[in-house]
Amino acid sequence: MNIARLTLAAIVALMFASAVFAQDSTEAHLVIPDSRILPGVPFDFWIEVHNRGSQLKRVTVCAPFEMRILSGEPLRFTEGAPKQRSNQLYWPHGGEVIVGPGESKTLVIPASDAQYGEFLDDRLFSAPGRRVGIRLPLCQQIVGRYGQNGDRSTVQTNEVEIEIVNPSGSDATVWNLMEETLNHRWTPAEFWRGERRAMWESVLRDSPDSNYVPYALITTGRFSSDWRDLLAQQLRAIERFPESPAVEWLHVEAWLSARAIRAHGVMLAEGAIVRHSKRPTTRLLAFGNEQQ
Amino acid sequence: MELDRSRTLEGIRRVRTQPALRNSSRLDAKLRDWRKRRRSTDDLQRWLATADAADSDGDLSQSLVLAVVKRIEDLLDFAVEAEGCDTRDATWLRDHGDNIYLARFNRLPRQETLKAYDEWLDAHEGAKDLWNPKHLEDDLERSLESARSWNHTIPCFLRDHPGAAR
Repeated sequence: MNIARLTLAAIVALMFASAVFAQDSTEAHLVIPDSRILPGVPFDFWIEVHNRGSQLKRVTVCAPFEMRILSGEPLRFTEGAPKQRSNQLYWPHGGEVIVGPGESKTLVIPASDAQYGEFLDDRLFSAPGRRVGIRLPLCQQIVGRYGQNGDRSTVQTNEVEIEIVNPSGSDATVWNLMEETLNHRWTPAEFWRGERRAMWESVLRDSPDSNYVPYALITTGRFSSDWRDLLAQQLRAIERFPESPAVEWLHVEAWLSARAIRAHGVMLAEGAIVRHSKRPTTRLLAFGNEQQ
Repeated sequence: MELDRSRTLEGIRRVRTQPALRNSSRLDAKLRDWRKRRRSTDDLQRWLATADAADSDGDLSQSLVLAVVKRIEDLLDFAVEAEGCDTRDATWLRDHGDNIYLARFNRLPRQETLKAYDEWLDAHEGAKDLWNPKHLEDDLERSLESARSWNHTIPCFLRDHPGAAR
């Protein structure tokens, strides 16, 4: 009898615990809008976070991507697992959302954030021909009424497949240059080094057909003093590479250049494109958190 | 980079020459003259350069009037730019641009100064604070942005700046 009661109590406790767990669950849906990406460049992504629980939660990106090789070159031992570096998780635009009970929010990471942190700087993203499934572990913490934090737990996103394309033609030429100069990686954070700046400038000069041109323009544009010429180059690149994963980033840059030189018509045209973008990454990059 | 107008000579001039622009009828009249080509763009630009921003008690960053004036100055710049590019734009800006801005100007809080508005806000618990010059500037830009498509201005800009290799 006692055993039966104990068993029943245990079952009830388990049911209660699982009900509480389910009630406090958080769903995290990873979105990567571009499924094919050139090796060695950063990409936009965002996570749609839905709080099914009854408490206020803080959800943050707190660890690197987890990757599963689906096809292509297997992991080399020199690549290893992504390393935790001191600035790896530095997000100029946040990297954290506070989600109320029943609420949905979007945690947005534009590709441009890779200019400052090292999150997308891993060599794992730089193996041409590799198809990978990636997901992102998030940390969630219940926020108390007076702002104090509760226990931390992890939430896993769904897995998203991306392909690191095999560059050919002028893209292969640029990729070879990147291998020599940048050690296979997107490293604009170290762009102050003269040879890296010279490399991207040579891409614009010598490989104008390459799909790396939008990235080269974004990178060298930070050092341009001729805004009119820069804006003209940005607009031509938008026209030439409309399918580039970086094209919306270029629209934001063109909008900013047009503002800087008070080219009102272009500013209004680019502003409308940026404002109506379906990508939260683009809107965040242009307007910051306020107008998300 | 935009200069902090409150620290410039222009800022001092705006505060010291204080005709009451807070009442939109004077601005309306000037713009109407410009629309009907009874006043030149140059002349309107000069008048706007000394227009009052006294609605914020000296803090130009809080001036709603100045937010509108800055956008009208942009509109006039654009009209000049359009004359050299696409005259249909210049005509459109004269015929419609000012109305878009004036409609918004007329919806501003009725109090003539920030101080008076703050007092009104204190006396009306729960009222939303609408004194936000930055928001107003963005709003005016969006109004013009969405009034029609401006995509045709891009080829025009590129025609004038053929330097960048295609």
